[in-house]
Amino acid sequence: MRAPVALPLALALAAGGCALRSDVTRVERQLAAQQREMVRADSVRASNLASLARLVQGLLDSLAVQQDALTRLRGDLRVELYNIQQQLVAIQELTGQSQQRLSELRGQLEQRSVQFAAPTDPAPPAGAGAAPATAGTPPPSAPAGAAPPSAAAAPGNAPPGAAAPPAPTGAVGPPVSPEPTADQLMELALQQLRRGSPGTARIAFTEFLRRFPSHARVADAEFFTGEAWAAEQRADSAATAYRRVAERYPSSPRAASSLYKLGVQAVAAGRRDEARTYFNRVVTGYPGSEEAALARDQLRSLAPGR
Amino acid sequence: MVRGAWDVARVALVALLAWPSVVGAQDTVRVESGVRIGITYTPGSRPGIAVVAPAAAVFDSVRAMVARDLDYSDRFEVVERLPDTAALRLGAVRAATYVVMVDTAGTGASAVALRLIEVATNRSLMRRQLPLQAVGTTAWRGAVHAASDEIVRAAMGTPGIAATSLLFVQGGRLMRIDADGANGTVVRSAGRPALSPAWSPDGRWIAYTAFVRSGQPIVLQELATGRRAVVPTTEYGLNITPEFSPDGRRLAFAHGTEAGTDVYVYDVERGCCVQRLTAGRFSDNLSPTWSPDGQRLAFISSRARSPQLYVMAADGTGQEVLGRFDFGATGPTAGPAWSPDGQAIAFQRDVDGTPQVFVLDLATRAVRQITGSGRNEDPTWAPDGRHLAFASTRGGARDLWVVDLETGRLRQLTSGGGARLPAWSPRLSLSEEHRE
Repeated sequence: MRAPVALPLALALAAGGCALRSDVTRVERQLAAQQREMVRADSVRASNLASLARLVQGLLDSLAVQQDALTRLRGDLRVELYNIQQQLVAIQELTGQSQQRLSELRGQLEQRSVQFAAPTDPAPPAGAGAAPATAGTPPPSAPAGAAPPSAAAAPGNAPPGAAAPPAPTGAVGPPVSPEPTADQLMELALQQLRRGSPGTARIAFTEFLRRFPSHARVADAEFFTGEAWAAEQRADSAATAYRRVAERYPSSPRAASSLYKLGVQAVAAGRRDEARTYFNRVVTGYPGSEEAALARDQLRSLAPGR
Repeated sequence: MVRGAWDVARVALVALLAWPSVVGAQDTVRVESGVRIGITYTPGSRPGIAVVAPAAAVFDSVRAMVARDLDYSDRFEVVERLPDTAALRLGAVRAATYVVMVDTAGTGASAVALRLIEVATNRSLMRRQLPLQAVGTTAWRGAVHAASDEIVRAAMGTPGIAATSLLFVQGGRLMRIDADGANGTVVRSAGRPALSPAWSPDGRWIAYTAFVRSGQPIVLQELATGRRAVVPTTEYGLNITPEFSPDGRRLAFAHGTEAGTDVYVYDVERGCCVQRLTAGRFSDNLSPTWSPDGQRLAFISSRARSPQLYVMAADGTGQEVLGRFDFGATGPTAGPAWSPDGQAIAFQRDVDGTPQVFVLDLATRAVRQITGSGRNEDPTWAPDGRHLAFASTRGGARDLWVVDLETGRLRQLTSGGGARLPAWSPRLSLSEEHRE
């Protein structure tokens, strides 16, 4: 009974052992194939990676070049911006100077028009005798009114305020205004201020404001009235004048100066909060002015903890 | 012997002076009635003056110095410059309105006496004694110069400029020279080169830019002791063109940064509180110069591209161009100097690419060209307000020259070349010795 069971088992085992070897061989072949496949795949991957690395390097190089270009561009732009800002400042400055020149020319025109509009005495009746000759009177042959281009007609030759009396009849020459023009009065007042006579200057500025209340230099007159007070150590009166400039003529260049001076006065008096207010008004109201830059410096020095 | 001859000469001189005083001056001086007050001075006229002294070395030295000082004041015609006291030239004395007599003072001959006599009236207008023991020293020279200035004051009503000095830069060194061109010395400075020297109003301190390792600070230096102090905030960066205010309490200077160059003010009296007065805004603002009342500052700004003359209040407000400026036509301007009388500002401006000295009249805004030959730069005013010193190449090398604005007379102050940036001192006190 035992022999018939063992035989088939042995046969089965023998048969099984033969199948295992072939399988192993097959498996080995498959493994080899797979190995080759893997090597090939690795090679492909390596190749891809290499090309990818080359791509990335190229990209990085390109980026670096771009960055260089950007840096150069930024530098160029900064220089350009600097030049533009410089030109803007120059234009602003030249515009201001042109306005100043226009104002001077306007003043001269006014002066001329006043001179030519000045009334002259009626001509004396014929045979009534000529008026006494005056210095500079041309010979009688000269036609009436044909005044020679004398030095008196040239602006700046006669001292401001040195107005001559009306020319007598028969005396030929440019008619001269009996009273100084606005610009002459302003120059006269400024000269007094510069000369160290603030009281006289103040009277002249007051006279200017009384006679020319709508003149373009009214703000100047108010401002320099404040300067005259300041020269006399009258800080309160000066502050009043400066405040008037800031309130009445906010578009005048003197407004920024007035506010700044009010701030400086407040600093000197130890009123730091009030000073900050004035300086802030300069910075916000007149950001492009020289006074704004000065006010920023003052605000920095007034910062808490300093 | 000399003394005896001098006595005879003096008697003769007085006798001679009496005669021309009647003949030459009776039309203008004799006063029949009333009172004659003050000094008559006609601008442009130069009264004659003779300086006479006994024949001795010390007198000769004094006579030569005084005669030169009076000549350089440009207010006199010096008609007698030779020490021929024994044979006074009649013509020379007659031509003189004034005579300066140099003599010993007292019996001990311990001093030299200077006496100014008005020929027309034979009146003594001034007398000063100089102690003899200090002869030859810098102090002695200063005393003689001061006496010369007193002579000018007694005759003309305003003192001369003999007792003054000029600082300037030569080969990077700070130099000092008397106004008559003598006594040149080196001023020891904190660094080399040194630039932009400036005097304090009392003549005791100077300020300048010193090139040191860390930068170009503004240095304050006491002349007598050499004591130095650096202006705070100027330790770094470029700091140039310092200028004391007329009261000596403040110092304006220019400080350069990347954003431009700005004018700053330092409180010398308190030793603190540097404050900016201009906002660079991509331009250069420099070379501040104070008005005599200390209320305003003129300076150079390139805000309109071409450097031009500007003015502002001493607190930095009200900045505006000063004088006529035609864009593209007016040449670059530099080196402003406000005159001591406050009436004018001297500066240099390029004419066809060459700098020339100009003077701006502040009342009329008229500009007058002073120089035209060679390169002329860095004008500085003498304390009398009528003389200007400047650096010029008119003689070939760049030296300092002095021009009298009233007569146009020129004289060369330095030689050797390379001189620039002169700064004329105030009138220096006789009692103080300001040299190191």
